[in-house]
Amino acid sequence: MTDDAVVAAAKRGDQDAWRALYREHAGRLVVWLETRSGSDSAVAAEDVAAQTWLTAAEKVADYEGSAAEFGGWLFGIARRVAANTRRRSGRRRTDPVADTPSTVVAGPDATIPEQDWVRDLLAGLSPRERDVVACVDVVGLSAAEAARALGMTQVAVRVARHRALRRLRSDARTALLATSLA
Amino acid sequence: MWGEQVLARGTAPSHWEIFRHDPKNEADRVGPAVVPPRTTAGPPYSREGQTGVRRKIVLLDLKVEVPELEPSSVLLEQLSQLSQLSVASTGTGSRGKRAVVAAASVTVIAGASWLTGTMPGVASPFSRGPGHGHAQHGPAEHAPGTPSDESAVPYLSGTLPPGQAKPHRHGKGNHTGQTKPHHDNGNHTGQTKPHLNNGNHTGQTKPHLNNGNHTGQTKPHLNNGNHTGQTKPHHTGAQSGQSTGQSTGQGGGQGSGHRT
Repeated sequence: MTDDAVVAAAKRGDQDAWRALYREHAGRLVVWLETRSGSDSAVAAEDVAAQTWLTAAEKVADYEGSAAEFGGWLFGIARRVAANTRRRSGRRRTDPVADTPSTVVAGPDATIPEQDWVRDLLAGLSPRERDVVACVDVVGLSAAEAARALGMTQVAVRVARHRALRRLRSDARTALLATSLA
Repeated sequence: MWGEQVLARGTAPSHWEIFRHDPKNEADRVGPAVVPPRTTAGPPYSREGQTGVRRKIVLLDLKVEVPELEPSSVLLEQLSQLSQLSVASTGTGSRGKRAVVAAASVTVIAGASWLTGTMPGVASPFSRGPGHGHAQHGPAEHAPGTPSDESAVPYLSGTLPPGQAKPHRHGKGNHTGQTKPHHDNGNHTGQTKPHLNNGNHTGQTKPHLNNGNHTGQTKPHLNNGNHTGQTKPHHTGAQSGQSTGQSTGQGGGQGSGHRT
């Protein structure tokens, strides 16, 4: 597997190459991190994504592939960064606040209202199936890229996605029936 | 794949329904956006002719509009610098090289163990046969006229400081500092604790001498019929004779007294 021109330029430190990679993958990386399971509300997905990009720049010499396949490798780094962040946040002591602030400042994630619906829909799945569906169906990674991102085989990705979609269809069919009866 | 669902969204058969959330209509949060039915027949795998009931297939459209983000100049600068400093990790060596290194390590450790004689079951090539490695000197023989029994050695009077052994006279001289002198007869078998093996193994961990006399008592003691009446007579040195004499006079009536 050889690098294409964008990846080769990014390895040399070309800013235009990094800009192209960022435009192609940064948006869906944030969406995927927001729809993933186990995300800590105290840690924003944008923070994990920024750390992921820095780690990717440090390790880009180890990457071999094209710019289109860069997403799977990048999502794999994001998964490990998110896991480390979750472990650190688990050790961090947090005290619940009795009074919540009355004024709620809308975050950047409020600009994408579909994500709430998708997140609620995926909440009934297992974490593994949720990750697979979020990778493949929500942000549009291929099965190979999702397998690389999640550390699974492509067969395992397909099986998990099949089970997840079957369960989601069953839930949606139930919702359809309830809507028609109402 | 997502692309297949996009294609199916516009050309879905009449019994397919796209379950998709419409953000503009919050009242339709659980309801679907139904694709208008087509006039053509359904897909070839429809089971209409078999069951008579058309089964609705729900396709989930989970695609989220991904925003296109623009990197900041500071982030681009950091990415550029970090990528220039990036060096491929060297941990991905070939398996053959790692196997050779592992085999060489095992060989070196095994050879060193063999040479030093620490490998169990294998003698060191530097250690010769029995009787060559050490100077032979026979067991200590007692000179005629000297007491050979340790019990016969009169102990020196006086007290010893705690932790120090009593000086005693041995056949070769006086040893005062050793608590347990080691007698080396020159025969070393390589075992850490050689023992005398005469070939007779009873299988018991601690064989005992059985002379056939069993009294049934757990701890037989010699009973000579003289009981002084005291539960636990003790010997107190200079006052022993006096105390035993009184006790025997009152209890047994013999008056002779004896020391237990």
